[in-house]
Amino acid sequence: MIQVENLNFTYKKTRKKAIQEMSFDVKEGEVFGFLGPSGAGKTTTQRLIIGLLRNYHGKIEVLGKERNQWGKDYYEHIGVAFDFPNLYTKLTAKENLQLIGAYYKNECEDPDKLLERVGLLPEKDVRVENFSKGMKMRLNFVRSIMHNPRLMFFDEPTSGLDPMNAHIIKEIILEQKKANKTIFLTTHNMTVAEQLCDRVAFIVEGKIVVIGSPKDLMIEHGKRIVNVEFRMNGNNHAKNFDLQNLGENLEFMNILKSAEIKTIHSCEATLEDIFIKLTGRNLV
Amino acid sequence: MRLLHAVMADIRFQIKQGFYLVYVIITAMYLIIMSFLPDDILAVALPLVVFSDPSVLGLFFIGGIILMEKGQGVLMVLVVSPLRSWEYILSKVISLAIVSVLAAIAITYFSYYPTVNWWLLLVSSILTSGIFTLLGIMINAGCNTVNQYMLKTIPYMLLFILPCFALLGFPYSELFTIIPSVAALKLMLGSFHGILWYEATALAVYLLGINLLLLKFTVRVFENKIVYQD
Amino acid sequence: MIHLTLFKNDLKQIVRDPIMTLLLFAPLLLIVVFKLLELFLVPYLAAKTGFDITPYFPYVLSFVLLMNSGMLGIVTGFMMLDERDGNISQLLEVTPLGRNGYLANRLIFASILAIIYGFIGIAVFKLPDLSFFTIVLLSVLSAFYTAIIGLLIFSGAEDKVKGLTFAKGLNTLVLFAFADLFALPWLTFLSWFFPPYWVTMIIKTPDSLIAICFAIVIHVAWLGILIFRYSRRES
Ligand SMILES: Nc1ncnc2c1ncn2[C@@H]1O[C@H](COP(=O)(O)OP(=O)(O)O)[C@@H](O)[C@H]1O
Ligand SMILES: [Mg+2]
Repeated sequence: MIQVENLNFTYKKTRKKAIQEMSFDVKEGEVFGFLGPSGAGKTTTQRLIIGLLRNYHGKIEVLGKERNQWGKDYYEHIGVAFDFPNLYTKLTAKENLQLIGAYYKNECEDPDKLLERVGLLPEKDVRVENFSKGMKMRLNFVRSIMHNPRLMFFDEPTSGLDPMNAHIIKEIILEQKKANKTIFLTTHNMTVAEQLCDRVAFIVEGKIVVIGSPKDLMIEHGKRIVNVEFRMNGNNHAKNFDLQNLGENLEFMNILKSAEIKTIHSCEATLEDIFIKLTGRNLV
Repeated sequence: MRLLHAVMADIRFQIKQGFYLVYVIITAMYLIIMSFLPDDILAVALPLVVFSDPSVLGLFFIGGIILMEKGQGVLMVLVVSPLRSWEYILSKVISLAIVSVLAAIAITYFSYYPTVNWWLLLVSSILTSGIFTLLGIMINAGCNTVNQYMLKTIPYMLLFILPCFALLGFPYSELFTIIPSVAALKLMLGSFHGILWYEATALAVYLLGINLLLLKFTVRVFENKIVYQD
Repeated sequence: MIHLTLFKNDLKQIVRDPIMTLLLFAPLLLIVVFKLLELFLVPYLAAKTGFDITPYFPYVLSFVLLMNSGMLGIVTGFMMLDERDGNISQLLEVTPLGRNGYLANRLIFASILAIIYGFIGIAVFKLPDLSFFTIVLLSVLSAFYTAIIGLLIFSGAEDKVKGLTFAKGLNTLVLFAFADLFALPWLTFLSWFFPPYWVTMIIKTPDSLIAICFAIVIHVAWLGILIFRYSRRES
């Protein structure tokens, strides 16, 4: 779907080298996440692929064609939700969908159905200026998928949303993935990446540090031990055991049998730990 | 199809914003004034009013319209939709030209001026309106506030309006016809006072050419300054 | 005290932003353009058509004053609309200045300018028989008119485009300055309720106590109603 090789980009006005030697690919039907602190270059990369920034160096192949060879037809096939809601504030929710929907050749999804999906059906005839931020974000989100695009770009899709709304958005992203859509999202939220992405790229200061599936990364960089806290002979104890051949570890089995167990944890690293370990940087 | 949708959307927006209502009021005001003018003054004042208000309204409004779409972020959404830049711009031109034409015709019709060439009036107000709307989009490209925009239009207005006094007639003043606003005013005056058919055709063709050139140029400026942020 | 520092801030902001500086001089440009028209176009018309403008001089002065203060009001109105879009006004509203302080600050600033340009306008288009009192009165009324227009745009328009539509519509108010020329009873009667009519009246009959009283009452009433509406709607 997307193939990026040795991508370099500099903002002309500020001479800021925003992207350096970036290479990655996104496969069909995959949810690919760009993970990094703010200012890392996530939005810039996305906008390069979307086509809002020109004059890049390197290769960006999207939907089988070099990015700068594409004309406006490109936008029939992709859906974009920016990191802030872009809506006609004087129009109602439904009018917003109908207005933009009319510009696509594809038959658009029924607005009522879309609004129902994100819990906005009761407010479909309310002007957007009276919406809360969460409502605007949800409307903005369904607007980006209404024309049934094959490839979708979401910039920080859940940022600033409460857990309920974030959950709705995440569910829809997973639905889209089930329908074999390809999704490229950016986030600085590890949980989102862990829950949604097939593969993630860690990016810092315009460079990719590592790419992999969240699970693989966690296994590779986690410690293979289990930590047990227990009470024995009136005292509290804590001990680590190797995961390897745990069932044959007599001390471990003994504790399980005779001690009062407080907690047991396997110590795979969180994505956040790995990010800090690999980049030396905190997220956010 | 896309263009048609865009035009319809723009018209609906303009109605909601009260453009049409305001022009009903303004037309009424002009009509009151016109009804008091003696015929010989009306013959000069009517074309000047139609030229200076309805035909130029695009320049006045387009700044605010684009600033608002930019501010709400919907311009970005249009950029990543299949709607072409030229369709977006032409849609603004057409929708505003419709207001221009309606106001121009209403003011003229109710002033009961005896000899109006309606076709010429139609053509000249469309062509004039187009030029000024496109000019407005171009000026708007680098602006962030309405005040900035209004200030930036002042030099252009001077450049366009001052040469119009050339029509009062002094040596070599014919040369000023090369300036689009002067050509447009000539055509407008012609639709009230009569004009040789080949002169009218030449002026109309010239203005159409200017419109097309400006459209092309405006699309470029629009894409470079508003669409792309590199 | 608060007001003083804010004025200083305003001045600084305006001096730093070249656009604002230029806009503040825009009324000057208008005065120059009108003076040029008077110097060149009027003799030309007189020679060509025998049209004599002298009896209409009061209307010209009235028009110039109204255009000037109207323009300052529009600029201020749009400044406040832009600040609302940029959420700057929200920021200022939660400072000790408060909502009303913010509004007062913007409007008073524009009004002071209107007074200055009122004096300049009267000086440039001088009519021989205006007393000092009348000149001061006209300048003060200009200040009121500026505040009225600024407030009409700011509180009447939700966004920039509505603001422009409003500004366009407000231009028709100037018509009332010429109302008695038309000698239409209904139009004259209607004009009584609008400030521009009384500005012309004061210039035409500077000694009429009735005109002075009506002028002041109508200006104050408009501003008062607008301020009342503004503060009530928001609370
Ligand atoms: N329009 C722009 N002009 C100049 N520099 C920019 C622009 N947009 C972003 N940048 C810079 O490019 C870098 C990457 O920004 P961005 O891609 O927005 O980061 P992210 O989305 O990861 O937070 C930042 O240092 C930012 O300051
Ligand atoms: Mg970003």
